Amino acid sequence: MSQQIDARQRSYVHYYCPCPDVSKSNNNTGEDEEEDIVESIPDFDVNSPRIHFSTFPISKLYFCDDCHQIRCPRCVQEEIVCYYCPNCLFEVPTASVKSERNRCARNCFQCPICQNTLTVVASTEPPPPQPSASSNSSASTTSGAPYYLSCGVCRWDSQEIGMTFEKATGLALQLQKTEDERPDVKEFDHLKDHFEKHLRLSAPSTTLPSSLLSIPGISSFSNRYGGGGFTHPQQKSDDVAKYNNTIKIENDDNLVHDLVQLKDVNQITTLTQRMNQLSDQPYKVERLQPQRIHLRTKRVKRCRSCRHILIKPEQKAQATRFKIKLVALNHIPKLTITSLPKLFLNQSTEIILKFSNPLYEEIIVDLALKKDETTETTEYAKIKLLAPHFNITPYNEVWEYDEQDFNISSKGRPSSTASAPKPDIGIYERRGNYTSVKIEITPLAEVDELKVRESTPTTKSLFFWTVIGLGPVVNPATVKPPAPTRSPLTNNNSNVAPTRTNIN
Amino acid sequence: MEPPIVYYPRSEYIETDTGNKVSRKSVICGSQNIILGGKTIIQTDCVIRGDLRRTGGGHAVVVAIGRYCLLAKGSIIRPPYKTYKGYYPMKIGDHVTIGEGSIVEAATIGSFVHIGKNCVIGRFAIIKDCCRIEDNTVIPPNTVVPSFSIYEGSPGMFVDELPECVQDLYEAKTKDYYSKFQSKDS
Repeated sequence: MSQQIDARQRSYVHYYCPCPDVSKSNNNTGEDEEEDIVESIPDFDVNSPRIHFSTFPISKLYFCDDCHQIRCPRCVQEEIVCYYCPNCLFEVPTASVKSERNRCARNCFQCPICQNTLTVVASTEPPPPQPSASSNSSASTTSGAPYYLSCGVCRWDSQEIGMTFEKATGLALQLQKTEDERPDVKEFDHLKDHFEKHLRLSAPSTTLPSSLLSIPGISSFSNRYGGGGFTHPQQKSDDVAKYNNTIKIENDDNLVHDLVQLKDVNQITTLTQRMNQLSDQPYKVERLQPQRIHLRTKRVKRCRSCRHILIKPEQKAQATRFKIKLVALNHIPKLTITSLPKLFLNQSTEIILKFSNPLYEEIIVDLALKKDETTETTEYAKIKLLAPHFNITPYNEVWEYDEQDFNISSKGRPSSTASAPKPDIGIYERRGNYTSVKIEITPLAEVDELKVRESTPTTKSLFFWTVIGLGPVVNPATVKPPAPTRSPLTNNNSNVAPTRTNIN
Repeated sequence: MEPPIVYYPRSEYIETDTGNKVSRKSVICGSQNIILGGKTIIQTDCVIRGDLRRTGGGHAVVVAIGRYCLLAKGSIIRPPYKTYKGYYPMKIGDHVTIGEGSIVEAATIGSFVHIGKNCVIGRFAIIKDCCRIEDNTVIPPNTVVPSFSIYEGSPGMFVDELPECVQDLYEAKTKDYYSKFQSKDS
């Protein structure tokens, strides 16, 4: 039983995105569309380790309307739409993102020990509410003057490092002064002033939109696109004066001395804790300080060849809707495995694949294992497609509301739409907007994971490979049958029972 | 892999006219303070504490659960409380799956959320729409789980982002589960 559940959980259907093979498909002239597409997408080896990085479940794929191709998360281009704090969900205007160094400017801090969010706590608790009105004034005055930060997970609080606040709001502002005094911040400001004049002269205008500038490293491309006046790079770089660093940090010899004399390893910071405080990366736990929380982004995703927008979220940080949402789930048929009996060695089993049609038009599906072949024998398995050519009826929204009727109706569509009098071979079920087909598989090798690949073109000449993982193959010879061991026991019981009744 | 049809004995569940299927073996306290959206399944050994409320008089909604929700076996829903302030009402959105054995004490849970098995959601946690909490996660109190994130571990930390179609996916999943949760005369 547990093995059956295990096999079902390990089975999957992944779709292959041919983005690594982009150079081959670009050579198409596009005259005879279907043939070209079939030939251009190369045969691929299911068991190569590269497949793991190019195949994705359908939930992660996008579909470009213009290019009529699947796009995977690796081949979409992203642009930032808005920044927001993941804790207070407050949208930060793009202008202040840079000045706040990509961190939340309000009260959101991260525990230096366990990296969870800190809560602002008052030093003295307000007394329990009393019904009399005279005590109201005293309650407001004793509501905790010095505030501090406390972690709900590891019980750390900022009083341990002596960090307290006067007001409960605007904590980042109260810390602003100490932050500006940090040596790395001061050094960076000096560097910026030094290079600012040079930057203004060398790159007067960039043709890139401002949203792209948020991506790190993109400014190196700006020289290529917008550098009209950038004719003499050597001359320009000579104009920059040599920079002398103004901040000097001395070596801390005491630190080495203290570390040598440590008795308890808990006094040293872990790597995660140190890397969260990149300014000085302290070794001692007492020198860790709560950091402000990093902002998260909402991104627009574009197709890499035609620059068509695939995903466009709403501008508001808290909205989960999308203005444009071209996901593969709404455009290509979704394959799921409906029934997967245990796979035994050298025993032919039938699995049922369900193809669901999300479009409002009918689609015709052609299955093939290897360029128009319906049977294939590899070293791992012998596979036979019983239904290589079938159609799937369109999606109808009315079924969403008529759920009761939908469930009660019998298997198979009413006779008016099923025009073919003879039963379709290999088609298990045809209902609603999906069709289930049978595939016969005879595993020939005992493997931990049996993978099958299939290609599926539809009427609009869309062609894609899918990888179907079917879970483990069991050798029946190694499975010990449990029944014979139990039968002696049952025999004993049956012998015992009659004697009891006889006595009674 | 398609989920199988799950049968339950007809006598064990109460089915309301809005389509809610509530197990008779679940412990529902204060049912007059609990609102179920419709087509919600509450399985055996679930505990919903609708009796934990502030004394205020009048009808107050303590636990509001949306449509097509699933509270799997052994899950516990109780409203969060603050010392000297009392209990706060709890709101769960539509299409929410709460896994087996999970303890949920959050302040709000948005729509299209999947919570795994044996999770512990701390007090006053806010889980926004379209999130996923993996199995055996412990979410500390007062955390905010932003949309489209996957949280895992103990304490729950952000590990991955969810794809954009997760709303359609979870909606289809919960509707599919509801249609496959059928009664059988045993």
